Amino acid sequence: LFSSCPPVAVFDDDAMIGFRWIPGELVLCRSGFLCMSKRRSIGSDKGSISIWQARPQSRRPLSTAWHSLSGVAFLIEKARRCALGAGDEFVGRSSELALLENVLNAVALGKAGFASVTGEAGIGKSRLLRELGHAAVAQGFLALDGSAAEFELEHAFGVFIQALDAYLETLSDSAKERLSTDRLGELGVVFPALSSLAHAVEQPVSATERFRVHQAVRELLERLAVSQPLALILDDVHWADSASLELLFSLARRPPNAAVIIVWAARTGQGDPAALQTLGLIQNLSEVQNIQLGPLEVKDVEALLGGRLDAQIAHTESGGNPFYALELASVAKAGNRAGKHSARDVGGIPTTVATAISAELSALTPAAREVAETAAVLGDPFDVDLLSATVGGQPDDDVWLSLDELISRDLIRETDVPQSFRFRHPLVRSAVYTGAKPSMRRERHRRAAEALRKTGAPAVALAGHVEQFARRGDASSVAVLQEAGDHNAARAPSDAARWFRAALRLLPDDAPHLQRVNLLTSLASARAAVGDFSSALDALSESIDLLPSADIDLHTQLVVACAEVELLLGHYQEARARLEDSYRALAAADSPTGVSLLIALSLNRFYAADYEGALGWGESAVQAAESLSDPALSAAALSAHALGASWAGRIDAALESHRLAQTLVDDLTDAELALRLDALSNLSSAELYLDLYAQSCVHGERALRIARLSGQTHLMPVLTPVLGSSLWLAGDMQRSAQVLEDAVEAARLVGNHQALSLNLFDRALSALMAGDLEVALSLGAEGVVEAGFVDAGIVPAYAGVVHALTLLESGDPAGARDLILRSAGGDSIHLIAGTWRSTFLESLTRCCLALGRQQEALEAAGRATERATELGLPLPRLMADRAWAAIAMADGRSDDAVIAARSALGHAETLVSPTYLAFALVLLGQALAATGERDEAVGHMEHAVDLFESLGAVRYRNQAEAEMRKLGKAVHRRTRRGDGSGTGVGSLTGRELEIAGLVVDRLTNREIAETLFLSTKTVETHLRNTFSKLGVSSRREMARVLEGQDGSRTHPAPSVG
Amino acid sequence: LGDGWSSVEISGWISGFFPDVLEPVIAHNREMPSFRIVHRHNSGECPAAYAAWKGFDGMLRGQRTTSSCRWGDHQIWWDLEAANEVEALRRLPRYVSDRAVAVRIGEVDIP
Repeated sequence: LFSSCPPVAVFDDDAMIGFRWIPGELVLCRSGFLCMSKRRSIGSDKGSISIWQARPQSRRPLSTAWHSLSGVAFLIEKARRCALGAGDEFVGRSSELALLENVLNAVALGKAGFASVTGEAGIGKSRLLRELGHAAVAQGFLALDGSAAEFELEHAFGVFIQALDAYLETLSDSAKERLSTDRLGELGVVFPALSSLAHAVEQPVSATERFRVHQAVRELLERLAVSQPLALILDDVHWADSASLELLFSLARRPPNAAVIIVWAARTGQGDPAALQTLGLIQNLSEVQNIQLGPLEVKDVEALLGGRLDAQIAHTESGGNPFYALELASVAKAGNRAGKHSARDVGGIPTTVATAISAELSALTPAAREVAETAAVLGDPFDVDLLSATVGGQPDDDVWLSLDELISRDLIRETDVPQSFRFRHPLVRSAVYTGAKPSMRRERHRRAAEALRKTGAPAVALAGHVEQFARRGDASSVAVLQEAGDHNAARAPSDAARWFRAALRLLPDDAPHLQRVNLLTSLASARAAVGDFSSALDALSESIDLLPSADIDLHTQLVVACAEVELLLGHYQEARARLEDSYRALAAADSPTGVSLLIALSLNRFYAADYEGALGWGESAVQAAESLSDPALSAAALSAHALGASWAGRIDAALESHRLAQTLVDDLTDAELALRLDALSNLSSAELYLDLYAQSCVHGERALRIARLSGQTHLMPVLTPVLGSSLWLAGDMQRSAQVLEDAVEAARLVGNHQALSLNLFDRALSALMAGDLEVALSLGAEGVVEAGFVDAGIVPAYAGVVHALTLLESGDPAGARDLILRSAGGDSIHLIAGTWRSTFLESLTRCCLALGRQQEALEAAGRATERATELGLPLPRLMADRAWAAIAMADGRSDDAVIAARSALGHAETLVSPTYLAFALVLLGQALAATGERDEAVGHMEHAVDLFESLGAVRYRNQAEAEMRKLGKAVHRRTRRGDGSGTGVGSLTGRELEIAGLVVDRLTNREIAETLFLSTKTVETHLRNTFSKLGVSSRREMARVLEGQDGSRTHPAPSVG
Repeated sequence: LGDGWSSVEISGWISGFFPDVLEPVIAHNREMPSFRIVHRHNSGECPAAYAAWKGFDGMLRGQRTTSSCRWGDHQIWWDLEAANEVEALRRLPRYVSDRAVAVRIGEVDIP
């Protein structure tokens, strides 16, 4: 019996062995080995269950005791539907539960898993989740659950807060401090229990970078799952706030690297359209196990009702919906024969069911009815203290009496927390809420807001109530809604937009126009942050219409904002027309407003691949700024000009403007630059096109930091592709990948095709340069698809050539050639700006060589040389030489190849790019090898191997090593050597040192485990190893050894990620 | 154990199973002192005091006990046997035990 029906759980508690009782299950144990003590009996009309706990005879280790169990006679019998009253049975869902348990079992092995349960209201989703929760607990999971509720959107990440926050509150102070040390301060933005961490966020989270919060939560879940697998069970997510759904999407798309299962339930076809769309996206992910709950069978309905109603009738009238069937049974029990009402015409539920709930409410005393209706206004679950404060006119004791009545009638039920209750089912709450008189409902919302205000609740907690009772012209309500919108703008922009709209509705007609403009621009930002650019444009256009004609500055700012939105949409021509109209309307261009317009026009022309146009507008901007004596403005104009000139190939002019701009920018403080951040971002871009990668990285990082600190993250789509590219060119592959992956994540969240394409192809190129061909292929292809959503211009052109380069490296020269010619404007590749054109001319040369198109290769290399001569910069010269070296090699002219490769190496050294230097060394090595100059070839290859190793470009390192072997040079991989002795402090690993440090701080193993998010067993293992390495036998001795090292103990640097 | 099982009472210490260890265990039990754990938290800590039990593996989890939380006083009591006060408190999650004391108790005759 034991093997076929194992005990649901065994736990170790001071050598106790017990059987955890799971509601609805019977566990009977008989053993001569174990002393059985009866803990609890529960009776019902179906019988009774005795729950036993077993205690072994002595304090043996668990493993010993457990091993002995196999020789003990056990009788284990499961019996369902015994202790609990009819109505809560788990029937007819065994196959669905089995699917969920499969996911659970896979997760128990250490991999994250996801499952979605969908179906109509009352079909049994919550009951299935509950059963899964029991199974998870039985398997030793930490099971945390939360649910969203109808009419409640005020709390960003609400469903996650409900599931996790109370548990996070129990973390020790040291564990919380550890999260702060490890730069997970963003968690403080989400969870009230971790709000103390918010101060640790160095750069505030903005709406466009809310993926940082997702990353922090992902890491938190990984840490929580270290000591035991984690089950996160989220119910009714169709009502969840947008931040929760985004987080769920993010977690499912990039699963935590730990034993974490996330299971959620949602009603089919219900909820906000945006929520449904997000849920649809999540369910389409391959990682998600989708379970659609259908109607119960007749036999299941029979089991459910236990003979209270004819099963066939109940099944027909309920459509196999268990909640409806039970309601019908309750009607029958009350003596009202259910009529045939299959039409679902009351809130989408059968009339009979609505009638049944209504009958339940009618039977309540007036006081209990009032308490129920007030509770329905407060939320689900609701808090008793807030209920008492909101009911008004009833003493606390009377409220309790009413609650007791509601409990006895099973309209509300207890939760895990004694002062918190929830309705039997969301449909019951909905019926209570909608059944109340509208005037009373409004009054209760008003009282709830008042009660919350007295407790010091934030505006977001009040907003939902305020929205229900406030009248037009109510200034204090407008203020609450605006504050709630501002609060949610960075974390849940979609919800923020709701509050801004509500505030706009309540604004009196005679409100100051600036107040309305302020709300409209906030609304525009919020809508843009979730990718609804057309709504954002509408709001901005409306605000422009509101402005008096005299307010030129604000008008121009709004026009530039509109153009930025259009730029994000890839609608360059519309943006250009808007900007030019506004420029023509200006009385004089030499004003800050005029300069801003000119810079915007220059950038607009770049995206349209009109490089001469970009240069022209840049020149105008410099001229307009000259007379204004504003260093930041001048720097912005000069940077724009440097960028335009570098795109157009006027390198001397570009370098001069760059020099002037750099001098100005480097003298400006961060605060000054925050007002003209485009000075810094355009400077960094210009440096990328002027082959000044190290400077580009410095300015790009500074711009990124200031953008985050000043909340100007709308610049990110421009900043990150440039910084990401400069970083890999400067040899920092890891940081490049991080910047670009974050940018891709942000663009996905915002839903902006242009930003997504830009960052995808740049990430693809950075992956290609690091030798990660698979990633480059996948992201590059996606970049091309995304580029198809924007107007013709640089985005489709760059996306095409970058992907072509990856295709070439993957052995598809025909596909690569075709893509280059198709996307970059033919064989001249004129759509690619400045220095980068040479790069892709070199690629085209190699494509043609691989395809035997000798003449075409010669022409491409010739154009590369022309471009190099024209620009005079190292990168185009390097690329031209590479192209000629490739042609010479293909022709078998090894000596010519060596000459070209040597020249390429010289330019690579001037370029100061370890990445291109390594490739140039390989090229020269190959050319030399072909001429038989083995020793020099090996020397260059060895240098290349070292460089690729330092760059982390394993693929290319291996290729270079293979070349060395071909030359007869044995390769000995250098490996990092440890201390070697295996003893002493020097032999300790980082984790061992960290744990040892906490031992010295007198923390117990349990406290260390909590602090470092480890299991106590892991801590013990590390300590055993540490004792052995240090040759000590106690913690005290170990502390002496550590403290005696140099008089001061050194903690290792905290691990990040 | 079919339909008529409701009247079944299994004492649990029926002898005859190998190894039969009834007596030593009873003797062992008799040596164990009894404690009443008195735990107190404030109103704001109430959700955490209950959430702390999630993921905590111990014999008290899932058991009923006495609490005054619902009525606003926020105390919880447990009676248990343990070797000493420290061991008694170790039956609780850290968050709960940090806010608890273990008081040794025993039966007395009230005159």
